[in-house]
Amino acid sequence: MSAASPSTMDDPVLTPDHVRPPALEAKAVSKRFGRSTQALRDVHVSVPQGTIAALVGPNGAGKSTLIRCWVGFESPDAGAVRVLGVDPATDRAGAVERLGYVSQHTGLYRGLSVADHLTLAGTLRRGFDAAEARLRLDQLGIPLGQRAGTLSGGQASQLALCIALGTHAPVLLLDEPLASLDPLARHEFLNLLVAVVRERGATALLSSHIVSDVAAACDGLVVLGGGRVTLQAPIDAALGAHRIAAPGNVDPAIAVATFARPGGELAVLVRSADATLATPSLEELVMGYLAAARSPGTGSGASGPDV
Amino acid sequence: MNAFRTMWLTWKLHRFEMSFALAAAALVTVSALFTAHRIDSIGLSEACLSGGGPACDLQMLRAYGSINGADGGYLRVILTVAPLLIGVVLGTPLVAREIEQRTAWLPWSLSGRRRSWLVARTLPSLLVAFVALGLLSLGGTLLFDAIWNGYQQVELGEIGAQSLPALARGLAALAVSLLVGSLVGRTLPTILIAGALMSGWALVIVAPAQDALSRERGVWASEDSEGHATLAIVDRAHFDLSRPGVDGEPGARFDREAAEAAFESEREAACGPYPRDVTGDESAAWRRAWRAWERCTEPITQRARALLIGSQWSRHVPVSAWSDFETLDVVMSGVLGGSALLLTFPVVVRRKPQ
Repeated sequence: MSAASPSTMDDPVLTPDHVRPPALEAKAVSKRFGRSTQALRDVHVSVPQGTIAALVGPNGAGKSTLIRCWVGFESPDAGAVRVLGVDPATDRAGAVERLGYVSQHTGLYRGLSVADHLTLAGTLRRGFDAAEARLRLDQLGIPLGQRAGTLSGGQASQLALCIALGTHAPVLLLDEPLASLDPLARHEFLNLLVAVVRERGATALLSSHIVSDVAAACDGLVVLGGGRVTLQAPIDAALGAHRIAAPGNVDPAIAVATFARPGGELAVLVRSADATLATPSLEELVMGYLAAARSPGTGSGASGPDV
Repeated sequence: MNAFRTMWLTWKLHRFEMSFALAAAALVTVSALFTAHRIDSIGLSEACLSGGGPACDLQMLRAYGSINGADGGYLRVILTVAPLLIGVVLGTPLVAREIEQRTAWLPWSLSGRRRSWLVARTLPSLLVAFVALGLLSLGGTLLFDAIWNGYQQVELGEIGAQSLPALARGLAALAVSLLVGSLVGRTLPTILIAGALMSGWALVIVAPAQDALSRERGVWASEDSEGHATLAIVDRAHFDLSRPGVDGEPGARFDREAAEAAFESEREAACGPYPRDVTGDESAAWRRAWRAWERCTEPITQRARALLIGSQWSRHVPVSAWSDFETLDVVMSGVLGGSALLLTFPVVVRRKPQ
């Protein structure tokens, strides 16, 4: 994600970061469920070590499926995934040892206390830092003796995050952990995540459909729409390389897609650094690429030049 | 220390079903021991139950029949079903509930070694199953010792209610429900499927052996037409050994029609023909005649009833061969349970959490 230029639908593979090797890789990954659901189509993703990347897309875009492939909970039909070079298809234990994972469903044991969860993690994961997890939970005001079934959604997510952080894993995968949280809880969650990941130099991939939340926390952006990667780039570079234009007088060669801005006004996302045009917000950038993914025939998303 | 923590957490996660299993086993065992004690307290001699006749005291025999037919009857059914139920209750939630309640992701994402996880998760339940099934096994053994005191032949259908077969069947049920739960990933369907499978299994392993049994007579405590304590013994004379087995009697059919005709003739010879209400107005004269005929024929009817009912029970295992059947049952249950347990490992390793 530290590359200077974003890759796009026609070339969704992130420009290789020669400085930092990838922590997470997906190469030509496809996954189908049943006959009709193609969850992932030839997905290429590379998240460099030491970065925090946002995996953004609407419901059903394939975010969870991709993350579950890295954890070894799903096997790609085609292609391969790697966690710090380890393929979970051949060495799941090795891949899992390098990962800290927070599920979309907090799925904690309702009958166990917070402390029990830390004990459980300690019995399952060698080197689990229960003391650190306790300290964090204490700082968050989550009582260790409280049963997980009585925790609020925010507290449950924080507990799941503290467990993942307690593993000291070099790579963290967080599957929509913010979805059920109120704004304050989301803020606290991201603050904790960013602080720890930056301090340790770890890598994190955070999936979400709440774009505004991840903007401040993440370095890189991967937009997934309809099972395809439509944009993959450092956030700053992606924003700098796109502009918002009014419909009508746009060169089709640089148009990504036309989309409706909040309030209903139509706008065109274009690949351009033209200073006379408005810079898109991260949400507009994502909406443009999701609109392009939904109707790939429109705009020039499929054939435009690299930015 | 780690193993102790794992077992403690597993106990906390499954404390309800484990407590249920232990409490149910304790309750059934205490009931069985109490009933066994009641039967022993009657003091009915082994000679009476093995041979009947003068060795039997009618009051004692009635007391035995009363306990054996009521509490003992219920307990025999409960002791047959309980090991399977306990196995299913303990085995089902181990994996099925983890998948259903979406908690499996936590242990499976913390450690990629699911085999170790499964072993650690299953061991405490196996331990509890051993204790609970051991109690049931003990209770069943003592109860049947009391009931069968002096019996020469016993029912094969009760083999799973006592001793090692109860333990083996319960453990097999645990393993089968563990496998089914891993495949299905839902608690209630697992209970239903595993319960049905184990019930079918209990029938399947008994049926061929039972079909292979051919007994000449079935005996149980009763009283004769004179009101004397005796055993209703099915007479060989009432079996038509030349006919193929039907009515549950392989190789020898009880000729019920011939027996009933014989009793009918005996009644007519002793008391005259059945008084028919020719006018259909139930006159006082007809009612007097009917009561007199009933009084006259009652002893014959009682004897016929004892003989006819007794004759329906015919396939029994000689007590001397019981241990062979027990060994066979334990081996077959062991094969089933062991296979299910071994198959569970690859299923869990490949299983996707929801």
